[in-house]
Amino acid sequence: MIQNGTVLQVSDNSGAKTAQCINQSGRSWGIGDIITVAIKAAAVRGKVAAGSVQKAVIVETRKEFQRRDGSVVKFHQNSCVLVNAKAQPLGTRVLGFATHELRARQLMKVLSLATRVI
Amino acid sequence: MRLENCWFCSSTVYPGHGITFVRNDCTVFRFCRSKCHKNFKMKRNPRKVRWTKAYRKLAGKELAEDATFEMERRRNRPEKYDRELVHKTVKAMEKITEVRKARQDRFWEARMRKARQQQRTADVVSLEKEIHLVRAPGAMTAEAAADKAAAATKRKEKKRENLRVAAEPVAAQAMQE
Repeated sequence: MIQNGTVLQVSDNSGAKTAQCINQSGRSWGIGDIITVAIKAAAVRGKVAAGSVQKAVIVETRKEFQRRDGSVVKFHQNSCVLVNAKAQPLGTRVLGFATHELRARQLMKVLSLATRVI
Repeated sequence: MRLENCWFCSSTVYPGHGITFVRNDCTVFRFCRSKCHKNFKMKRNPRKVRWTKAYRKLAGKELAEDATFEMERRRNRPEKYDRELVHKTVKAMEKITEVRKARQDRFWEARMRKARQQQRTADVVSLEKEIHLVRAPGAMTAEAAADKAAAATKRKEKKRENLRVAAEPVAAQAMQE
């Protein structure tokens, strides 16, 4: 349930720390969706600068999501991984969790970088 | 598909049930139902909540350590599918469950044996102490007195009856004369 204005944690090593969703209002997005974000806070010598506009894929949401087998999963934070226009991750490591939902969205690269998968 | 245990109450979580919560430190908590989930959100310690298995095992109310529990370890390596192995495993699971149940029942019996004796002595003590809840203190003697009085009246009645019976022929004779 990420919508316009949601602040997400960035869980890769691209240098960004927090990102804010700047998609158009009206609907919300969940795990596996690619959204446009503005980097709010970033490390000084990272790949991205604070204030820049990037694309990101949502990897963790506080809102629970359901799977076909009936299981329900929810996380403690809203998290994203920065990607480029071709859905390739900007960073080289994904800290935190990734879910198998990314497989269906052709985001195998992000999934493969993650050490913790649920 | 994997059957997990609820983090709070240790019961099995079947597919389609419960919620999985992933914390920021990457610990995964599985709950079997909202009761357990809500208790977790209240920050309750399952070891102190009396209806959970964690409490019961800690308090010695249930069989805690046994070889049959070791057999249910989590194995992460997938086994190559072998029909015979699957059959043997299923049979072994059934047997182990039987054995475990028998051991748990025996544990319960042993625990309750002591409890029954304790209950009996407690009952005797409470009976002596609290007999006044059952009968008033003076009522014992009053009842005895009542019994006595009843017996006395009964004797009187019988005597009167006897006299009357004895007096009838005499009265009849008197009437004749």
